[in-house]
Amino acid sequence: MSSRKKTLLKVIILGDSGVGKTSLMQQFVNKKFSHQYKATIGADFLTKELPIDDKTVTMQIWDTAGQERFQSLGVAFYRGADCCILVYDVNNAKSFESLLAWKDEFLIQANVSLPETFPFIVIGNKIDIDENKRVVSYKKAAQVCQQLGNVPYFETSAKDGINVEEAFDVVSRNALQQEEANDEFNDDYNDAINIHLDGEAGNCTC
Amino acid sequence: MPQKKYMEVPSDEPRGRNISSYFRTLSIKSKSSDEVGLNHVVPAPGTPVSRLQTLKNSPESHRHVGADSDDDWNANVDSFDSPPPKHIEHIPRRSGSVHSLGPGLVMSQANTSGPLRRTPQLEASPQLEALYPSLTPARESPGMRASPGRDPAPDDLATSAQIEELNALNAKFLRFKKVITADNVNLAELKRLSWNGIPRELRAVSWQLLLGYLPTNASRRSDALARKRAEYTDGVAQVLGADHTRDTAMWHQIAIDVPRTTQHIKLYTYAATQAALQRILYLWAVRHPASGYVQGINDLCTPFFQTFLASHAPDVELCDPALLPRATMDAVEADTFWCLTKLLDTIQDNYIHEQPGILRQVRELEGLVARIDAELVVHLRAQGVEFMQFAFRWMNCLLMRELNLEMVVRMWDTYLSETPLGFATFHVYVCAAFLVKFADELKDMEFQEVIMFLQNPPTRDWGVKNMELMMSEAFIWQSLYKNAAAHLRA
Repeated sequence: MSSRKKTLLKVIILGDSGVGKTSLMQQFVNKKFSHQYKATIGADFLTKELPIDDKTVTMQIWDTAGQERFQSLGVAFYRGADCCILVYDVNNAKSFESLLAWKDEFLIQANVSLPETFPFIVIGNKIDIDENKRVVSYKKAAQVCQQLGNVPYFETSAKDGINVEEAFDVVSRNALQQEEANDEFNDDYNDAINIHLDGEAGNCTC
Repeated sequence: MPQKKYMEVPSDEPRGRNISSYFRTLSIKSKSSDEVGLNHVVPAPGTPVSRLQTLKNSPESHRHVGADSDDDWNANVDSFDSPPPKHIEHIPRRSGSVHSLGPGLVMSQANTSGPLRRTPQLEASPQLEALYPSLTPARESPGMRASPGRDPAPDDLATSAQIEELNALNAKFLRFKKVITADNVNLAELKRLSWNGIPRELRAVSWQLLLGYLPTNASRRSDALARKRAEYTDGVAQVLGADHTRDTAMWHQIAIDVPRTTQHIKLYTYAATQAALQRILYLWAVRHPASGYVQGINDLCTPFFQTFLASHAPDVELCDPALLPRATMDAVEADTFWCLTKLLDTIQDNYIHEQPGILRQVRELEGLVARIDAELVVHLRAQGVEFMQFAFRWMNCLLMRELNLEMVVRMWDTYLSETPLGFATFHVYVCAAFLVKFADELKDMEFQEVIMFLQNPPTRDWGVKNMELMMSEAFIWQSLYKNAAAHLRA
């Protein structure tokens, strides 16, 4: 191995069940869409090599299960993340309301060192569906994202491949920034297991 | 903690012996089947029988392999204790036509309430022999066959192997039939036979007996079934009725999962199927508030649904349930519900808050693999791979995402014969065998490759031989380690 480590960006996709997390990942990585994706159990994993400016990075994407029951295993997947994508369905109000809960859940379980600066982005998916069925307006969503801490917001159709590239481009840039910040922070950054994790997570809920 | 108890294997002693000899046989076979691949081929020309083919439907590879190890098989076939070469009836379905056993041999037209009355068609077996009196070929000495110098006509060889397999199938079928048609079914005996796979036509009845859904006492069956089915219908009417407050979140979760359940099989794309699954899952969820519906339980419905439906629809994968008589579908739906309930009773802590059952199983798996192949575990840890990252799904969906449905069904024959601990305990040993199978490849992989490989293992085309080898290995690990539980807590 070379002395300079390959740049790996770890990205987590979160959001309610059925909002299109798997479809987004598949559209971004494989440029395809299918109606036949099964419900994700635990988390699925894909990677993609990306050019960012003059360097090539590898993005590792964890597409997680949306059902609440699976949240307890987030720890196994969230740790060491460089960016977190929060997805909702613009035609489903509840999935929009869950965004904040997903963000908090992530911060707790990922044990992020500087929660205020950790990069999130929000994606409103399924904009291909009939405009009449839409229940969350762009304006409302953009406003909430601002309240969440100026989180970048994109509206996409994973089905038609609309805006997916653009969203992931921001994801990769923000993730790279985070990764480099982490690197400076932590000389020997190698995803080591944080032995304090359990204790800390437990304490703060007391 | 009810789950802490480890295996009570019924009348274990003779089976233990058999399984290990079975295991030896299988290892030989499975190697060759890997080399040859599992492609379907046209049976050898001149085979006596269009009829034979429908029964048999075996890939060429199996035939040759069978020919290689005829001695083992013959030696075993006549004994109750031994594993008959049942794999021929479980070959994965690729082409629609080959599959049904042919109208004459499909055993059930009536509903499951009268499984025993359906037996007349079983009497077809002697007829079959009468039709093909040469079914029992004179045995050649193994030396003759194996001798590379002599080159027996491949057709003959294939045909006689085919015939022997058929005979074995037939013998096996009769053994099951004998047990199942007794006035009082000997469950221990049924378990023992089922471990090695249940004949397709007898599977629905056998599963229901093994799960304790169908009474072992034949005279009590039709009453019991009628009562349970009525109970289900009432239950559904109640939770979907006006007096019941719909749990909308749960209903919605099921409603988005049902249309993405097993969509590659046509049966599951029909509205009637999806409506049935929706009712089954919702009623179960309402009745089990400690867990409610958890994603993955939808998958667990399908082996029951399909197996029970197959008794009424020979080409079950293409069947639209809406075209079947209402009473038949109601019975299939109710039976599926109750059997799913029985199964989930044994793994309830997999789905309650924080899923302690799954966490325990994943821990056990890691401990077990550390015993079997320490190097592998060291490698995975060095790469930063956590067992939770790949094995969670193996537990939550009982490997149903990694194997095709036909193989899952075969696996359940064995799991159900290990009732009540097949799904909670034996499954962990199966997962260990599953993982260790790829140990050599995995040891050469880095984190990313390991995860990608295990997320998408090359097992969706596995056939019965692969499955049986894996389960035999699991059986051995279990025999070695089940009473030495300390390693599981490591």
